[in-house]
Amino acid sequence: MNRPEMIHLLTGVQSSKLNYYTELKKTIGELQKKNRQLEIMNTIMHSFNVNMSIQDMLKQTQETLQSVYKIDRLSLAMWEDGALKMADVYPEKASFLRKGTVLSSENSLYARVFSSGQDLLHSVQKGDDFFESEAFQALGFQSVWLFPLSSRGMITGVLGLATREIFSFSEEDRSFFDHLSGQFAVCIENARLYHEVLLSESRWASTFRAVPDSILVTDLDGTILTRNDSAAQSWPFEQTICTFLKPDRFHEAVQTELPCFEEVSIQNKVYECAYYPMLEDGELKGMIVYLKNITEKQFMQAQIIHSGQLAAIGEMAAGVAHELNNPLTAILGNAQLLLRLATNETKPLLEDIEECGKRCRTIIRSLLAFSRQEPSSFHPCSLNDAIYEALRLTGRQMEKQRIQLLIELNEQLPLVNGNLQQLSQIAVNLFINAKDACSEMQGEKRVWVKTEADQHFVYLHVQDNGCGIDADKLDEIFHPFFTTKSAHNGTGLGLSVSIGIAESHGGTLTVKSQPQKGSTFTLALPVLERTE
Amino acid sequence: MYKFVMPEVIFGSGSIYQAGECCKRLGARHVLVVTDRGVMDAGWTDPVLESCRKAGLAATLFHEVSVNPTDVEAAACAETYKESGCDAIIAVGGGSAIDSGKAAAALVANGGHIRDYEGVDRILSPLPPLVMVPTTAGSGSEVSQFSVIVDSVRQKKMTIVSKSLVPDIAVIDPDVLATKSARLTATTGLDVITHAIESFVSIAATPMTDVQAKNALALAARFLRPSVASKYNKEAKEKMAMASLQAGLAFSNAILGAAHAMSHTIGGRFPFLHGDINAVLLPHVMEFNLIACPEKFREVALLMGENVTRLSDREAGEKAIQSVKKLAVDIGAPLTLAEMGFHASAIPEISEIALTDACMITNPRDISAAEVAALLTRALA
Repeated sequence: MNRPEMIHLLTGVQSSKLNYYTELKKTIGELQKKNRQLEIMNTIMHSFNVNMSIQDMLKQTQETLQSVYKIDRLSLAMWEDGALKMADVYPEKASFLRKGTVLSSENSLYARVFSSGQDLLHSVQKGDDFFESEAFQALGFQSVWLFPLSSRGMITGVLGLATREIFSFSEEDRSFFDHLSGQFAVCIENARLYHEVLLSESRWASTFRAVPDSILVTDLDGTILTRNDSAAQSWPFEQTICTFLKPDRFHEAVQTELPCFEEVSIQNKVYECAYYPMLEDGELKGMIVYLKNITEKQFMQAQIIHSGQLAAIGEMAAGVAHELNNPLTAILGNAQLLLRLATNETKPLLEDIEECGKRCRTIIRSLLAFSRQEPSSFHPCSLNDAIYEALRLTGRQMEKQRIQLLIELNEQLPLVNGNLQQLSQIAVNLFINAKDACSEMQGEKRVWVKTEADQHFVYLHVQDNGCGIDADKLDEIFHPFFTTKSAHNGTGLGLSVSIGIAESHGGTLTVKSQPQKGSTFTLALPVLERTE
Repeated sequence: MYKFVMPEVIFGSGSIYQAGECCKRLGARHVLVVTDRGVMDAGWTDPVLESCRKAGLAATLFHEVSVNPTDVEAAACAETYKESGCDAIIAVGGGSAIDSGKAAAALVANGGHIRDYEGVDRILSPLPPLVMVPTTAGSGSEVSQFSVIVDSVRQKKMTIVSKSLVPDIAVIDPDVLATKSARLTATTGLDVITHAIESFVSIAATPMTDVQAKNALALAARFLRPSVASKYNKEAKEKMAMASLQAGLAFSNAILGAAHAMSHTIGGRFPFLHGDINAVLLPHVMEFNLIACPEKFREVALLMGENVTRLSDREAGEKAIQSVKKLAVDIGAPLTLAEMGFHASAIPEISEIALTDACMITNPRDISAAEVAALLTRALA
């Protein structure tokens, strides 16, 4: 420095006493910028919610940043399935590399920032040879600033800020963007976790709802808190389970905190009902009432057992018939031979032998027919025939019990489309039940058997003047395994199988009963439609 | 093109009691009062502290300032400022207290070491409010843009020049001069004369500085002797105070010359009074500079009350030199470096360093190290 210059300096033409005004302005300027940045950070973070898509987050960020930084594009690359991939870009039209493009090459700026964990401010040059160079040039970016996104100590992706003008940012800007990307990473992570939770939650919820069995979640008093679709269908308005379930078992489960089970019948349906205590940290919080409709299952079971029984009877009957046929043929033949030589004295006796022999043969044939296991094929047939068949099997038992059998069959009865064998099974069941109902009664015992028809249906009424059925049991008598009879008398299968057959014929089996006065069972079957 | 800088100036008897109020006006709440033992003993710290109390300001005292203040003292002073939570500085004392206050202010606002600010315009952040109360009528530091601090490592006086070192308010109370010893009055008075003459002949002198320099010289030449003679000559004290102020304004803006450059260098190495060194060196430097601007030296002689009619400029200039020498003799100032304890062995090194002093730049005659050495040799005995 030469002397005049030095003197100039010393006398200070070009310098002035520093004052606080400029200092203050500088400080205030810095503070204002910092405030603005904080405001932006606040606005961005507040506007984010876990429900927001990443695209919306980027949009919100870019728009809010606009007042301080002119960022033309925000891009996001995320680590996914073991690779760094291009994720969302805002604005969407400013994207070149497609979403999902893998940025794994050594040559990628994003990958470099991802692996180094250091931000990178890159000025786009003509001769650049990076993986992204073509994209940057095509989109007309001058500067690209990449920041690593780290959440819980892990780098999860890269946030990119791109401008079409050259960046001229300071250290404070860097720390701001650093902070911003930190917040961004947390928000993205939160949103991801939230969606994961939501997804698994909704998966569970739909599982819960889709279960075909009824599931009700209740509090400890049985008040219903939640119900799945099936339960909602069956009990849409019930407030508490106590209106359709007896609470004993429920209370037992609440008290013991152990699961309890019972079988209940509600509205003509049978349910397997389980009460599961809901424990949270060892404390009983509520109950799960699980109702499985087993009505169908029981019918099926009953049918299987019943047909098993029939099969056994059939097999036995075939054997017995075979064994009895020869002696019976001998008895009948001999009796007929002897009849020719009979005296007046012996003739009635021999005739009786012949008659009895013939009846034995009929019974054997009926038994064989009744128990024959054939694939149920439907043919036009007469309900009356089925009744005759049944009477052949059971008439004698009635007589033995001194039951007066009043038969009133309509000979003009229209035909039905059905399986004679199965229909006679219904009739047998009804007759046996009528007989059993009368057996304990004093006085005159009567069973009426009547057929009639209207335009659409043929009816069989079996009426007795027996013990009748209590009103509260009327629903249950058709349930499989329900019986009022003693163990060796009844299996509880008869009526359930009968109603099953009636339904398979498109008919119904109904009952009217008055305790101590008697019951009337009515089988209704649709009339065979004439196709002529 | 030139510029003239100066602080607000409050001049007059009893103005020392304004110090606190001045600080308050500058926004202070807690003042660091920088002073030295001698000033405290003379009782001039008390009115300052009192004025602070009256203005409702808290005050912390720092008095570890030596004759030639060092970087260590300045750092300690800045530390006290920060520790006590001060926000303004009042310096009460001679050049040493005022320069220490300035250095401390530079440090608290800019950080680092005072060495970082040696030279011109190295200070980057504004300083806290500075109110200066000079008690010596000599240094002129209360109005100047200079602070001279000894680098204790290099054993050299560092000259820090910055517009920001110009204090905010200079409170000049001639009454405080009454306690000065004759010796101190003499040496500081000679400093005033040196300031006036060197700034007058400086190549950076301007009409604005000339007015100040000439006034200062005329006043000092007339009133220094009576001021030394009696502590109680109030008029002489007041005139010397004004002379010191004006000389300060002159040299702060026109800068100085070789005498100060050398004096700063010697002061960095030897514990001599700044005024004494100046007094010894000034006549020799004037002789050396005479040919650069004889007409100015003629004016110097005139201002010092010499009769120069019918004398050539050069002859008049020589008269001025004689006049300075006579004044030194009259007031009992040292006349040689040797008698102060200066060793000839230090001359080569001092000469080299003196050349780099900022004051050397405005010396009217170009000077070499050999010439500096020759001057020092002549001043030795």
